Amino acid sequence: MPRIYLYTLYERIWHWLQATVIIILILTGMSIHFPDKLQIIGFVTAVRIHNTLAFILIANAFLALIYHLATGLFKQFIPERRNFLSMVIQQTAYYMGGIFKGDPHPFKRDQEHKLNPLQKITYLGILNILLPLQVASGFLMWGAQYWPEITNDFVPLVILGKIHTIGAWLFMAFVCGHVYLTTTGPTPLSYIKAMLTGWEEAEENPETRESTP
Amino acid sequence: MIRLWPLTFVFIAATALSQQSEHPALMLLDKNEENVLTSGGPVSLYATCGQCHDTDYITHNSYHVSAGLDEMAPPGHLSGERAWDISSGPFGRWDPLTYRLLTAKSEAELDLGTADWIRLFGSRHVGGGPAEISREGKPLEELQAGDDLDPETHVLNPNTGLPEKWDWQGSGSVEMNCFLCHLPNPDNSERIRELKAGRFRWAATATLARTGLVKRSESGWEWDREGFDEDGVCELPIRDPKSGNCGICHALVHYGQEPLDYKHDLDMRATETEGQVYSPQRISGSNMNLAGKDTLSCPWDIHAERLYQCTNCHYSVNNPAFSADKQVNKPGYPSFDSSRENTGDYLERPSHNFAKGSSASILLADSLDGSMRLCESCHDAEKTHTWHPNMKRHLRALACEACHIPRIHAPARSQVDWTVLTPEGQARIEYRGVKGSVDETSSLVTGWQPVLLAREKADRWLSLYPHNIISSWYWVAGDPERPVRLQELKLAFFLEGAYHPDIVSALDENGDRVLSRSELALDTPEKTEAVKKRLEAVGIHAPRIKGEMQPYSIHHNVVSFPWATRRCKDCHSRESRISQPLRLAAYVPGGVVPETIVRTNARMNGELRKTPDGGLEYRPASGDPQVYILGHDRSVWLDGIGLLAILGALAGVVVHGGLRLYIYRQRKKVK
Repeated sequence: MPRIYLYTLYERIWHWLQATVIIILILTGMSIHFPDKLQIIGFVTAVRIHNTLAFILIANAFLALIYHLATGLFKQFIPERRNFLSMVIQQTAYYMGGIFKGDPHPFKRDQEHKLNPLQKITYLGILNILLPLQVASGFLMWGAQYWPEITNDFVPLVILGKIHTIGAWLFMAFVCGHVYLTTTGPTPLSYIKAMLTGWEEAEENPETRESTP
Repeated sequence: MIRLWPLTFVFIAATALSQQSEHPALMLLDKNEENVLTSGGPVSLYATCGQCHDTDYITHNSYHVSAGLDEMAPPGHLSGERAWDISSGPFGRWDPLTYRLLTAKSEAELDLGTADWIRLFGSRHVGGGPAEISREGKPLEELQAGDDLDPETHVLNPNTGLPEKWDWQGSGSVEMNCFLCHLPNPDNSERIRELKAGRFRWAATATLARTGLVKRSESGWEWDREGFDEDGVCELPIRDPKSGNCGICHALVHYGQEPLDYKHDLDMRATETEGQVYSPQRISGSNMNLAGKDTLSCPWDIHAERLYQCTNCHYSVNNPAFSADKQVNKPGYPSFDSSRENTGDYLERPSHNFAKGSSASILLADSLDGSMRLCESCHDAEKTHTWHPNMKRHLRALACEACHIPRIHAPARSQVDWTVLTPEGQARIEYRGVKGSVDETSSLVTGWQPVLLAREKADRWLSLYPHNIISSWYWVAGDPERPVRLQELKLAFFLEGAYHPDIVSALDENGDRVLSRSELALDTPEKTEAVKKRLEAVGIHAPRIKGEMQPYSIHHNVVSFPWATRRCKDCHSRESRISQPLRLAAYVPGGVVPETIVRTNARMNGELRKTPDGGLEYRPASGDPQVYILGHDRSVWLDGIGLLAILGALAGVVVHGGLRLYIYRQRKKVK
């Protein structure tokens, strides 16, 4: 089976660090949100871990932003200007039908084109709306003790709390779908392996097209 | 060891000296500045103390003295007060706990004249102010009763219910009573006896009953020459006020070795309304029948245990020893004001305006709000709460008292119901924190958890403070409305010393023709209507029931770290301490939902809920936009939507993945 080098070492470290942090943030967040039902570790420990990991997540996301800007890889997150809708329909059709028939993926992947059109839409929402909202609301909730004027005069804590909660639920839903979609490669584990080794097994007999013109 | 003996003697001598008063011997003078031994008259504090102290300055700089006399206005003119309140202080602000209404000058009917106010409420008033000066600023002793119904010269005869002229020249007035606060053992019961008897000018003299200088005889008070030297000079152990002096009017204060005895008494106001007890004694050492007593090894109040006196925080605002770092009513610049008074000036003219906080129920002398030593004046909470993961936020959102007064171990009033009268002609009163009658020493005192209400701190941030809420119901009538006078209530409820037959017929549930305590409740429309008819029968026009809630903030009964609220789950859980309801009433008289008193600084934005047993409880608001309590403030619908999103994602995974697996296996079979 032919292989392509898809993920650099930095990308892999970044991804797994972010994944670990997000999962622990979800678990500690659940402990904080449902202390009387899901108290695995103590409340104080959960809060401390949650706060610390949140800063690690922010730092990791910031470094990733710089990396993607510096390497120009940020472009792969931007939807194509032409024919994007038809690409979306193509990708959706693949997931709805082609995948069951054993059809190849409609778009070829390489280092500069790792995302299919549906992933682009999803990450556009996550990176531009969900993550910033989650980071900002969490940061302000934590910062309320240092800058109480902000939460008292501008954004009430109750609103921040609700934004952060719904954001957490959406992240959890995303993680479910994200993990499942890693099984849609040539073999169920090939995408996971790719994210571990950097090398992805390319599909045999590919009738593929470039995802970008 | 032998070498230490001299030191021991020095220590004993120093201890003995410290118990003695440093006040010089003094001559007790009467109003005409004549020695009381010569005149035989009552002591005049102004003449006696005025030999060295500026008593005029003192009486004019004391909200304990003025008691609201300087904040009076016609009924309906005070912002945020009831329609019938005529002052912000005890002299003129109606209190549902004591019920009687000081009659305004403009009122056609007399309820409480000034002399009756002194007789009834003088037990908690230090004298001077309205007990000495009329509302127009004239000495009361110069007032002559005319034919007009003037509340300053008339009182209501409790037997006939008719106004009577008051003889101020005969009774005298009540001077500010220095002895009450500056003697270690003032005889308050004798003072109150004189006040109730209307012998006002003798009240201060009676306060000296335990000094050996004066004794009661059949003809009145007689000075005892044995207590004076040959020059007519006496020694009195005059000193600065201790907590016990404040406790005479404010709360149960106990410093003795003997076990603390609890008794309920409205004169010990903070104990009655908030269950506050100021004592260094361990709670387990009291005589009370307390639930879990053996485990209560903390003192009633940690500050009392550390021997702090009330005046350490509530000091005279010009006391140079205390006010040095508290710039009351002074600009922020310069940071050090070297022009403050020296001790000599202070002793001559000590302000008797005491530094105060801004409690939810004490409403006079607003200008002094926040002038007292607050917790943060002595404690640096940020240094002692470093264990807390979100310390600053908590210190801002919670007053120290919220965690350090977790529970009150003495009963406090919860409900006062004047819509019915007990056989003694008083309101039916319910207490919280006690099982059974509060009058019975055998009743089990269970204690109670104060409700947390938001109030503005001195720095203007909202913080949660512990409170009690007392709900009161009473009849009002007329336009503008006034509480129905106690005299008419009694007329409606009683006939020849027993309950009126109509009242018995309406309220007697078990048919034994005797009204038990539990039957004294207007908990059905029929009972309410029956009492209303009785009131109308005695001439009350359109009587109706009103209900109100008054929050009382709690700042004493402070416990130290081991007993304070400190487990995260106490607040960060569904059953959070923050949202714990407070039972307001065992029943709702007339079905009338009580309204929060307007003039209070506590935020009562929670909700009232009827309990299944017909009672009423107050549940603090959990949706305050400035407060979001992790683990408690969960939105059910938001969590529902989130859960649905996850279930949706999982369902998609299961269906899609299942189909893929199924097709994969089918293909494999075909191959």
